[in-house]
Amino acid sequence: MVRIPRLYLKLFRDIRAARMQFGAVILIIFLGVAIFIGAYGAYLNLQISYNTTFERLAMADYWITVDALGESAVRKINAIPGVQAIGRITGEVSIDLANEQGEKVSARVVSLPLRSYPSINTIRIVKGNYFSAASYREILLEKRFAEYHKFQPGDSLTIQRDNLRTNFTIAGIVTSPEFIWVVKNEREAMPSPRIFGIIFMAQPMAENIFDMKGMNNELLLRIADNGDHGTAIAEVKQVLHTNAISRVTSKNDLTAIKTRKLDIIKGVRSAYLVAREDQATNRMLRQDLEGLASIAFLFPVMFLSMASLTIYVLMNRMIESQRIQIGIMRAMGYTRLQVLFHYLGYGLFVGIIGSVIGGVLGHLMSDGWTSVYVDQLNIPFTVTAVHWDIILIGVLIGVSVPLIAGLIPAWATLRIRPVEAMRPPVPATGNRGLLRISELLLHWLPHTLKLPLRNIFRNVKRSLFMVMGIVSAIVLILVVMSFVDAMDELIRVQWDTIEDYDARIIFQGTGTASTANYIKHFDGISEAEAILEVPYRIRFGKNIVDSSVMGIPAGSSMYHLVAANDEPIDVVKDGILLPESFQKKLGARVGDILQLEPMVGTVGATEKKLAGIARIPIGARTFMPLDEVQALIREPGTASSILVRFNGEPSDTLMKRLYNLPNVSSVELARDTRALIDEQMGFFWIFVTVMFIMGATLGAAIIFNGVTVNVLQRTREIAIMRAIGKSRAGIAAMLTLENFAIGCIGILLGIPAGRYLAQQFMDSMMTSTEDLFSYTMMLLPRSYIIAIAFALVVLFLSQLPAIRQVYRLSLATATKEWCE
Amino acid sequence: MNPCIKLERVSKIYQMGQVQVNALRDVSLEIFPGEFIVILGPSGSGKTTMLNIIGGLDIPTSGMVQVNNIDVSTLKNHQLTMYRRTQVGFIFQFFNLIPTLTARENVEFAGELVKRRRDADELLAEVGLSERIDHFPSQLSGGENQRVAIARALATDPPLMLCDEPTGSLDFETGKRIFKLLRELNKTHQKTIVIVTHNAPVGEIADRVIRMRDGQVFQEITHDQPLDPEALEW
Repeated sequence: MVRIPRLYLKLFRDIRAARMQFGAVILIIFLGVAIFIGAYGAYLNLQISYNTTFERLAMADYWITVDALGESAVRKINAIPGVQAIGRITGEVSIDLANEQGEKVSARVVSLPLRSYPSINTIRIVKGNYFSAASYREILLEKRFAEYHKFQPGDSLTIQRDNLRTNFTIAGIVTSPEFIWVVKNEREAMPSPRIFGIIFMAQPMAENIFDMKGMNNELLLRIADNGDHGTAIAEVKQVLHTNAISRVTSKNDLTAIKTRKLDIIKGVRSAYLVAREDQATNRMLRQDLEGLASIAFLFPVMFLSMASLTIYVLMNRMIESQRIQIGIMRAMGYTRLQVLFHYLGYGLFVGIIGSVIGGVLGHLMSDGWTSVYVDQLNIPFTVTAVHWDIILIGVLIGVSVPLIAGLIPAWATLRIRPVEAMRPPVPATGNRGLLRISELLLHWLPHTLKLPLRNIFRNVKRSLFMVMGIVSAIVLILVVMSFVDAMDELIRVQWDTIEDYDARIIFQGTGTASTANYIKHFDGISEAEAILEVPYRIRFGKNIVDSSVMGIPAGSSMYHLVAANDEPIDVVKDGILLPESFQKKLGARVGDILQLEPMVGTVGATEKKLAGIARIPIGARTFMPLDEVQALIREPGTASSILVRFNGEPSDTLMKRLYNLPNVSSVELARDTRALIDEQMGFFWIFVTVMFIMGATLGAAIIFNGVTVNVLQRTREIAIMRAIGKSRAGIAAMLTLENFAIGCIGILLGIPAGRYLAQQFMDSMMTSTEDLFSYTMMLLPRSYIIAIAFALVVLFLSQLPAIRQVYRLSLATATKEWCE
Repeated sequence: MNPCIKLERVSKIYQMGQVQVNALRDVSLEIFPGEFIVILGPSGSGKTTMLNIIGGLDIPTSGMVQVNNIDVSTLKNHQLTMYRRTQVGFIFQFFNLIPTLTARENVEFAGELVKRRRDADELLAEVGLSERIDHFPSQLSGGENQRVAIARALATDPPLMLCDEPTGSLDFETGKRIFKLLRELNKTHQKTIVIVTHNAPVGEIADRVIRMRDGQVFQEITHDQPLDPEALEW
């Protein structure tokens, strides 16, 4: 049989003897490591899944939008060494769902080669087949759109463009790398699949529908792995130039309005280039991933910091209580380093156990998180790998945190001289100044109250650790609850305050604002208002944001804008309202003059005063009076959509009338958008629930350890009190009062600390999700109540085992030992 | 015969807050190999301080301490550790066993420090605890705990055993048995044993009694015929 060295045996037995406290520390480390490995592993899995998807489905490196480009030009570009190119047609259409409501939805048509899969941005068939060469009248549908409308291969669909209606048969349901996240346009980053979808159509049919025989309006490029992108793009531009497209603009070098005007006069044709990093799906996925990455970093940092505090307290207590043993070990001839390493061993042990379990669970969590995420986003290829490097880093952090935290108390053993260790320490009387202050404050209290309250000041270090334990628990709960509250607040502000309409009638392109006055008189409509949204670039000094300006009627009854303080705010003549995220990006202050440049067209450049900051929780955009936006683009009476409020549930007849209005592409119901957000938030809620459970467990573990140490450190004192006749109930009441008082201090400090950390977390989330969501750090009263109630309940429950342990002690033995 | 322990003008001054405590004042003393010494004195007389200095647990403020030709007073920390490991076995009033280790493991805990260690089971049998080797300290009586402590002190086979009030927390009969055991060890293993106690009758069993008061040795009594511990009365 292997004989364990007795020093190790002592270590294991000590841990077994204090298994609850060490178990709590192991739990904390395990949670920290598991979250790190789980979240970071999921982040890597997703990154690899995206990259795999992009690689296997040959995601383009560049998209170049043109008015029209012949097939011969595409072939020339394809012939450039290191450049692979294909042309295609994309365009917007309406789909007549042919149901009882006469529902119409909008869709983007993307053309594909008739006979073979495209070599760039190819698709993956989920159901059905690719186009059969026998028929042009077949289409493929993007999976989410097909699933939402329950379309199956073999079903038929009517597509309408202008007045041309064409029937198609659905050949297959597909996924595509460029539409993992379907973005309609800059203004609608998350359109509901109910009203917007992607349709893949054979090239010859797309040419017919969009009247582009032998032409393409989009060019997809892939540059060879070892190719120089700059050189390749320069050569592509050369070919475009020879095809009369002499200007290629991109996100960062949009031509100025003046140049655009000159281009029109001179007849210069231009193209717009989008690199993969700016491609809508890729950008959204990346932002989403960055959010996950920041969580993968911040939560474990918070958890492991608290773990270090707990192990520090625990080791301090252990070393204090083992002073004699340390003295004996030193008297027997154990060296100081042997003693030091022995006590470091405790941290190492809990670190190894916690990290290894955390590593295994973290890996499982990363797979779980990945699959939840992948299910939600319909990522065509999922890769779940064992990230040994992350597991190793997680385990190393998990081992080193308790080791380092344990080093400080263990280091103290170096200073312990054996002869002093075996002498009882002088009981802590406390800081005289503090005690005097406490006396002044407490002199009027009876002894039963005075004693426990004075105890807080007697051993300030011990009380401080307890306070820090409570602060940690409060912080954890508040940080997690801040996510819940921020999301509730986001939904409340967006749908209960700002958007006070039931549906948005979206025009294909633009429609007339007077439609609002017309439909107001429809049965079932109580209110209607026109809005106009135009893509704009806003500039302040060197800072730029690309957004859209939304024109809404002054005093709108359906768009109730609010300022940061929740006070109503309205659009202002000659002024523009910005969301806070844009204001920060631009670095502008209210009253500053901003430059506005339209993203398309040659009219509409202007200057506007920053009139105020509006809260825009979902889909950041800017606001101006409707008539001013119409005047800017020189299209008075125009609108991009009509907001309507129904009288009760809209009837099929009413919906049919709305769909049949001239130029209507779809009707977006507010409840659908909300349902979509809820669906998108599925992962968020899973994450928050897991974090809450973990945070609560961690908080409980920290408080439990703090309270246990607080009670057990005073075994002798309690035993003496019992010996002189104090009842068990009296002692329990005294300890409870003391813990409660400490708990109150912890709560008072924990709340601002929790608010501060929640703000930091929120800021970090904001930077990664600002294009989609604008969170406001919010802690509702319920969160404070939950945090406080949690801390107090755990505090009271945690003292029970320790008090029971003290009751079980032999008074004769306990009164002989020293514990302070 | 050369003394195995030699103290020359040893003083020890403690600083207790603003007060200086002269625990030992110019103490000079010689102890010879195989002697069974009892140091007697009231509380605060300096007997434990002297024992600690001999044992290398404490260092003198001035003077010279030589044990088995080692000048303990000049040893560095690490050397003191090695000295304690090889030269001294300690026995304390409150046994000070490791509570999470069994009797055998407590003995092995000390034995592991040296290459030439004594077998734990053998030692425990020697102190009469062969039936209790797998018991934890909390499962043993006070006397049994002290016997484990004695076995532990013997584990490294040190030539010198220093006992600080070894029967202070034991009843009379148990105390007597402990002294008997220590006497036997002294005789059979030729261990030099120094016992510190304030219990005057214990001096009767010693080869030599050193009486201390106010940090000084004020009397030494040699017994040609020490009393058998069985006959002790107090």
